[in-house]
Amino acid sequence: MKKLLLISAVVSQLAFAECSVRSASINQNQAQVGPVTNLIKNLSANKCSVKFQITVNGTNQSLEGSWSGTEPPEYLCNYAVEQTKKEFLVTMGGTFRTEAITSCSDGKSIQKKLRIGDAILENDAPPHPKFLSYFQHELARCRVFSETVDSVEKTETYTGVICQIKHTNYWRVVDRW
Amino acid sequence: MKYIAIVLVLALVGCTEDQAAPVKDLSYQELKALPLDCEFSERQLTVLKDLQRMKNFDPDPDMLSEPLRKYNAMLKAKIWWYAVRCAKS
Repeated sequence: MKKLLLISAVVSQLAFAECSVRSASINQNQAQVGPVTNLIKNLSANKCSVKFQITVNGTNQSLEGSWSGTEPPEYLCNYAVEQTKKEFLVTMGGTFRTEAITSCSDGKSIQKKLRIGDAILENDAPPHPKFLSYFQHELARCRVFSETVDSVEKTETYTGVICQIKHTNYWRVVDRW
Repeated sequence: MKYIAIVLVLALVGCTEDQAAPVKDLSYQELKALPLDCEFSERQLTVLKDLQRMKNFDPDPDMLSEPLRKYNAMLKAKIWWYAVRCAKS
């Protein structure tokens, strides 16, 4: 996995490709950390401030944080979320493992829509407001997501199902409509 | 006698053939009106999955026209409803 990430990084530098790093932290002690919900992003020059909620050990936590840098705005916001989450979790003690997926495209804009078959991190698929609970499907832990995609003409909302890939922290998009 | 034998054979073949009921095509309104009930999940899921197989929609919703996308969404939502709501603990 490390090799794969390294190769991806090198290739992206050579080809001037646009890359997106999506990461998530996992508390290896017993804390159960849910997906990010109610995310509010506030972008200003080279800074993204975020407000969001996560559920830790069944308790809802409201968090706020920010990230400054020269990266594209969307990356700043992702980093702000991850950093804020990490800082909060550190206050709970324990050891943390971070996993990341790097996606690169050769000069084209990164496709943000989820696709059936994609392997993603759970917080890449926002929970569906009406179906928040996890359910079992073919022995896997699954949940429904709701994805909103903005384009120039309109805003589209998609619904879908993700299921956790066994023994990993990755989730597979198994259906989308 | 020959004719009787032929008729009997045909009748027997007819009885033993797989008599799968043809898949009923449903309009959007009919699909929407289909009741959801965990008690009959097996039967209802068969109907919905047969319908899905018959329609054979593109898995990418962006490739579908608006009415087809709406129909596909209703169909998939109903199918997943059973997994979400009727999971046996």
